[in-house]
Formats: sequence, structure tokens, C-alpha cells
Amino acid sequence: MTREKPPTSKARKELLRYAAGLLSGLVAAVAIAGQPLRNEPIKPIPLTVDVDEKKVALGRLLFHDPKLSKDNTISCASCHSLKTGGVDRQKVSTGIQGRKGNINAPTVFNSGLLFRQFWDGRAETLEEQVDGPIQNPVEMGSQWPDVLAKLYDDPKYPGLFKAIYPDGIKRKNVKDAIAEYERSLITPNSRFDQYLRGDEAAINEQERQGYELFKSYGCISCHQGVAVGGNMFQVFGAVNSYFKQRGNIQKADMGRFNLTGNEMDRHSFKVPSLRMAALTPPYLHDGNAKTLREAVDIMFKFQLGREAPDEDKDALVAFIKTLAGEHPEMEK
Amino acid sequence: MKKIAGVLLLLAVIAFGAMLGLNLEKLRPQQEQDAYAENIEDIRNLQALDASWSLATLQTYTTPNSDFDQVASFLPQVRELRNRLATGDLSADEVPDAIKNKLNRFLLLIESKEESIEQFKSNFAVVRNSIKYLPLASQTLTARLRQLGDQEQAQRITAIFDRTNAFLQNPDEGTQMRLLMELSKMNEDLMSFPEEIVNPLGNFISHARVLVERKIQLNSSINDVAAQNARKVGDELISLYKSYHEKAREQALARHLETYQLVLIWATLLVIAGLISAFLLWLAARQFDAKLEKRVAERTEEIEQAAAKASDSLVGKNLDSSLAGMGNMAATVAHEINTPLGYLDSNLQVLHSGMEKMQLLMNEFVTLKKDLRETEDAGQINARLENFGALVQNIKDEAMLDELPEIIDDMQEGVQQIQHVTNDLRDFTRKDRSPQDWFDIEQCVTSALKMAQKEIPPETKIITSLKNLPKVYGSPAEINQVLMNLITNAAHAVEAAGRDKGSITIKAVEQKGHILVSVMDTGQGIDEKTRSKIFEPFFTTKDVGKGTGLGLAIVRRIITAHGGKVFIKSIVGKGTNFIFTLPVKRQPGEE
Repeated sequence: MTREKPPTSKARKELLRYAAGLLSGLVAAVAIAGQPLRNEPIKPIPLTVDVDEKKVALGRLLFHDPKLSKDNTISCASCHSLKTGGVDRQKVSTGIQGRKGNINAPTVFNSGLLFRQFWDGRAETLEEQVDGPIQNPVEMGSQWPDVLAKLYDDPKYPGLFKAIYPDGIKRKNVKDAIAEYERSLITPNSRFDQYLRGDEAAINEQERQGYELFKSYGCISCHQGVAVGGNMFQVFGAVNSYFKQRGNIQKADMGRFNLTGNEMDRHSFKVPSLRMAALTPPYLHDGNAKTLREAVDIMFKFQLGREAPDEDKDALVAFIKTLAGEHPEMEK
Repeated sequence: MKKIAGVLLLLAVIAFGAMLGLNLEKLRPQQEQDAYAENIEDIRNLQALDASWSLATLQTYTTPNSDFDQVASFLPQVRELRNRLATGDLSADEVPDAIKNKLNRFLLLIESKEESIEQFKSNFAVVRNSIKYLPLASQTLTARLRQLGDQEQAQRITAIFDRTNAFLQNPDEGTQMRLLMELSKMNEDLMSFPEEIVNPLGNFISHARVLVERKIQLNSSINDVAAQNARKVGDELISLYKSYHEKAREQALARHLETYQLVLIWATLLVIAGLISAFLLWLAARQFDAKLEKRVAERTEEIEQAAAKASDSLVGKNLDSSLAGMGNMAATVAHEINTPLGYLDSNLQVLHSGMEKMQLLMNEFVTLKKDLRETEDAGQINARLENFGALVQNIKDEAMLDELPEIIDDMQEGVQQIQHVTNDLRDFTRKDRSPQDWFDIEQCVTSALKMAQKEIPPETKIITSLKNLPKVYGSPAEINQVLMNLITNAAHAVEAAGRDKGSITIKAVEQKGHILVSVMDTGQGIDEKTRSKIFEPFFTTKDVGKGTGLGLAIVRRIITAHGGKVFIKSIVGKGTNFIFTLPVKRQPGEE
């Protein structure tokens, strides 16, 4: 079962010495990072993001353009509608010719804050991620040469590309523009962020209570940082087995194991960001939780491995709903 | 031959250019140097990132309320450096396997560091929660079991909790195995517990199992994060790369030198090719010259034969004018030189005989001096003195010493006459032109008058009219000579006419793009017959010693060379007017 021997005292000493040796570097690192407004495990989303507005404008066009799909029916926005929280609110999305996807579409909002892309984190960058849905036969089902040819034939694209990229319409430039647009899709100034920034009245007592429970129950162990998730992997069913109970295990349920083949990565997924949870039902990679409350129940049962009173769970849901911020293209 | 030389030279130049073009890349090693420096920097940066990354990760372990954003923030930079090194020129074919392998190890270390950090985060999150929850779960369970009166099971749970705690303090695989077995046995018994206990106990067992399983994983991932030190491998990689690079640089330098050598060799070959071509061209020219000489010789012979025939058939009559000219030339030059040579010769004879007498006198003097010193014989000395006196008297009688300055002056004059003839000949036949420039006619007239002054009789009147003339382009020295010749001629003509009040008038006007210069004298004039020949070389009417017959020929040659013309107007008994024209060229910059 074990991978390796526990650290010997020699190894521990080595570790200490190593840590001590790097201490000076740490001081500098901490100084650069700066101290948060409050020493909280959740950080507010920056109010602005530094992006190239020209690329964002082009990326927005591409993101909403069905030409990227094989039969010109599906755009990125079809499944990641900004109006509805950056998702289609379906258990799984519907691609070209009515084909069903195999995993719940995560929100495009704040995707630039995530350390990897896709549920299993197989894409290291947003640029890399673009390849996935465009070529996935049950999503947009396209081939890049066809996509590029269609963009060439569109009167508006050659000029727009040329204005930004000297080499014009290229696969990497399409990806670059879309990724830049996605990086612009942050949702700052949520009520909870206002609270973090010092406005105590921004959240109510139940919500504040929910935050305290979020920390004390241990949700915070995984859902932390600026995106309240999205910076680590965790086994789904860390304490109790989710899949044994749910059954019908699919390839998509294997999570990161599909990539690494490492036994410890079985059912391991990127911890999803809870920032837009209020707006993005259904939940979990399989979309099995129809409501936020259901998702919280499942988390308690399989991730935390404990029970909690309803009022605590309600408070948690209330807290989670304070995390969603603003974006001009989003309907409140 | 010329073609061969030209082609050879062309080929050499082309080959040299091609060689230079092909080797130009080799002459620029800077890029490699930059790539090397960038690679080293990337490796060092990755080492530094790796260290900070590890530290940031371990920091989350000991900091309450920590988040993993900072740990994750290393990823973009690490990815960039890793990709760059993996796809950069360090993976090129020519790089030795040892370096590639080391690089792979280095990058694998970074990759497994990322993996260890991921494992750490996942394990840490779960273990942290379970460590926190297990005591609570244990207490709640045992309290409830005690309430239900099941002390035995309560103790069993407490025991597992304690042993789990102990394991957490000092995890080892033996304890882990035993605990896992016990937990699994308890899980099997789960249904034997009271129903309200089943779920909390199940959670307790799960958490205990999570801890027992994951604590070792957590420790091992912490150990990995701390121990997987990319620094050492990075340093090894750098040192391998450095020595390889230095070697490669030396080789590049050697190649560089080779290239320079090649360039040098080619340059030398080019020079040799040039020399060969030059030699071949020279050879060709020489052959051409030889041919030409031969042809000239043949042609000359033909002409001579023709001339001989002609002279045979036309003795004394209607000689061909050029042959007549040549005859004139020979006759004039001979005459002009022979005359001064004649009196040079006779004067030299006078000098010679004089010198003989002087020599005799000297000898007599020496003998006399000797006798005076050695001989007591008064008679002998008297005879000698008489002899000496007779010699001196002889010299006195001939007045040779009195004539000596005149004789030498005459000889000098003769030599000057000969010089004059040879100078004129030289001027006439001179092919090179004196320096060209913009000059004033007025100045030329002034200086020509000055030079010709000694030829002009003192009573002769000089009239000049030279107003507002544009500058002329040409050789001022040659125009000086033209004017001097004309003025001298005029002066001689005035003198020959013997008129007391003669005059020389020099006028110049601008007319239709030409300057007309006239030199007019009130001399005896020139008859028509003479006028027709007057510009021919070696034609002269003057007495020997007065002219070479080349003066006007030189005038015509110079004026023609300047793009002008010479005319002559003359009325016998009244005077002569020589007119020459010079084209007026516009100076650069003038309208």
C-alpha cells in the first residue's frame, strides 16, 4: 500500500537543514507576495486583470462563433454561456448533432485563476485547453485546418488577426486570443470579497457563520485560495467511496488516473472553484448534484466523512452563494 | 590568351566570393554563445524556482490557514522553463548523450517535484481534516457507547484511536498493516453495533483508515518535496554543459581559424591568379607589339621603296610635300645646329692652342723654379728666364687672354642656340599636355610680353586691348608659349622692317563663343607663297640662329589642341596679323 518508507530521522534532519538553508529566500518571497488584508485562506479576486484588450475583443468573437464547430452549430459559448454563469446548467453538455458529453461543463468564469484546466487537469494552460472541445467529436468535432479555413473565408477575421498577429490566422493565434478572452472573465467584487476587504456588513450572520463552518468542517482544506478551489487535486471519495455507492463507473470517473496511471490518482479530480457555484448547477463532475445543498450533502458524506446538522449545511450554502462576483456579460 | 586570362581572373573572383559567402556563417559564433548563456540561465532559474517552490510548499504545512495559491503560482514559470529546456538546442542531435541524459534527469526531477507537490497537497488536505476530526469522532463514539453500556467496544475504539495517534507520531509499515487489518475487521463487524452507532463508527473507521494510509503517503510526499533537490543535478548538468560548450567553442574557434585560413588561402590564390592573368596579358601585349613592330618595319620598307621609286622618277621636281617637309626639317635642324657647332668648334680650337701655350709656359715655369733651386750656373738660369719671357711675350702678342671672355661668351651663345633648337623640337613633338585650368588671357599676354621683352626692340610700341574677357579653360603655359612665339615673331618682323616707330598690337575680343586674339605687327609682311607654308614645321625665313622653323608649327598644334584655329593676314610692306581663336567654355557653376 505504501509508496515509500516514512522519513527517517536522518531524512528529517536533512529536511530541516534544507528548509533552514532556504529561509532567507522565503523571507524575500513572502515580502514580494505581500500580506493579505486578512490572514484568511480565501483571498479576494483582484478587481482588474491585465489583458490585451485587442486580443480579448477577438477572443470574444471567436468564443461566440459557431464556425469553430464542424457543422457551424456550436460555439464555446453554447456550453459556457456567460449569461448563465459560464455554463449551460446541464448535467452534461450537448455537442454537434445532439451528441452528449461525458462530463459536466465547468464554468469559464475565473478559469484563468485555475492551476490547470479540465476536471482531470490534463491541460496545463487555457491555450492548451482550447484544443480539447474544438476537436472533441462529441463537442465541436472540428479539425483545425477546417476551422482556420472558415475563419479565412469570414470577411472580418483576416483583418482582425493581422492587426494583432503578424502571421495572421494561425492555430496558435486562435488559441491565444480565446485564452486571453477567458483570462479577462474574472468575477471580482463578490459580497464575500467585500467582506474580506473589510466590509463586515457585506455578508449576513448566517453567511458569516457558514464561512466559519466552511473552515471548521475542513472544506477549506481543499477549497481555498482566490478561486476557493482550483489549485490542487483531490480524490473524489477521499474518506468514503463515492463511486462504490454511485456505481456505473465510467472512464471519466477515473479522473487523473487516466493521465498518470498512478493508483493514488484514481478518482482524483481538480478541486473545482466554488466562486460561481451559486450560478452553475448541476454540480460535481458527473452533474449528479442538482442543487448546491445536494452537493454539500455529498461532500460531507464522501469528502469530509462526517455528519452535520441541516442548519450548518444551509449556512454553508448561504456562504457559498456569497462567493460569486460580477461580470458585465453575466445576467444577475 | 587575353580571354583565358580574363576567364581565369573571373573564376577566381567568383570562387573567392562563393567561398566567403559559404563561410560567412562560420565567422559568426555569437549566436551559439547567446543560446548557451540563455540555457545556463534557464537551468539556474529552474534550480532557484525549484528551491523556492519546495520551500513554499513546506511552508503551507506549518502555516495555519494556509492556501495553495502560492504553491500553484510557480507552475507557469516552471512550465515555461521546462518546455524551453526540453525543446531547446540542449536536446539537439549534436549534443552528447551524457548531457541529454542529465538534462532529462533534471527535467524529470522537476516533473516529479510537481507530482510530489500534488500528492502532498491532496494528502495534506485529507490528513489535516482527519487528524482534526478523529479525536472528536472517537470521543463522541465512546461517550455514546458508554451511555449504551458497551464499555468493551468503547475501549476498543479508544485503543484504536490511541494506537492511530501513536502511529501518527511514529508511522511504520508494521503498525500500519496491523491497524488496517483491525480497522477492516471492525468494519466487517459494523452491523453488530447499535444502529445509531453504525454511521458515526463507519466515519471513524474511514478517517482512521485515511490517516493510517495517508499519513505515510503524506510523509513520503513531504520527504520527496524536500529531498528531490534539483540543485545537485542542475549543477552537474551545468558543469557537463559548460565543459561541452567550452570544447565546442574551442572546436568552433578552430573551425573559425580554419575558415580564416581558407579565406587567406583563397585570397592568396586570387592574387596568384591575378598575377598569372597580368603576365598573360603582358605576354599578349608583347606579342602584339612584336607584330606591330614587324608590320611597321614592313610598312616603312614599302614607303622607302615607294619613296625611292618616286625620287627616281621625279628627280628634283614636285617632291611629295611631306617628304619635302621632312627634307626641310632635316636641313633646318642640321643647319641650325651646325652653325653654332661650327663656331663652337673654331673657338674651341683657339682655346686649345691658347691652352697649349699656357701649358708650355707652366712647364717652363716649373723648370725655371727647379733650376733656380738646384743650379749655380747663372748662364743657364738667364737662358731659362729669357725663354720664359719669350713665351709670355708670345702669349701677349696673340692677345689670347684678352679674347678669352669673348670666346667663352660666343661659345655659350652657341650652346644656347642649340638648346633653343632642341627645346623647340621637344615642344613640338611633346605628346603630354601641361596642366589644364581656368585662366586669364590678359595674364598670359602680360607674362608673354615679359618673357619676349629682350626680343622686342626698345623703341617698338606695344598696344594691348584686352577688356572684359571670360576665363578660358586650357593650359596657360601653352597659351603663354603661343603668345610668346607670336610676339617674338612680330618683334623680329618689326626689327627686320627697320622702322623706327614700329608697333605690336595685341587685341582680344569675345565673339560667338570664341575669344579672338590677334597679334599684329607693322613689319615687312609676308607674301602669299610664304604664308601657305608658314605653319609647316621647320619652315623658316629667318637667318640661322633666329628661328628653328618650329615656332608657328607649335602655335598651330597648341591652338588646335585647345579647340581653336590660327589665321594669318598680311600685307607685304605693311605688316602681319596673326589671329587665333579659343572656344569659350562655361565654368562649372556658371549660368
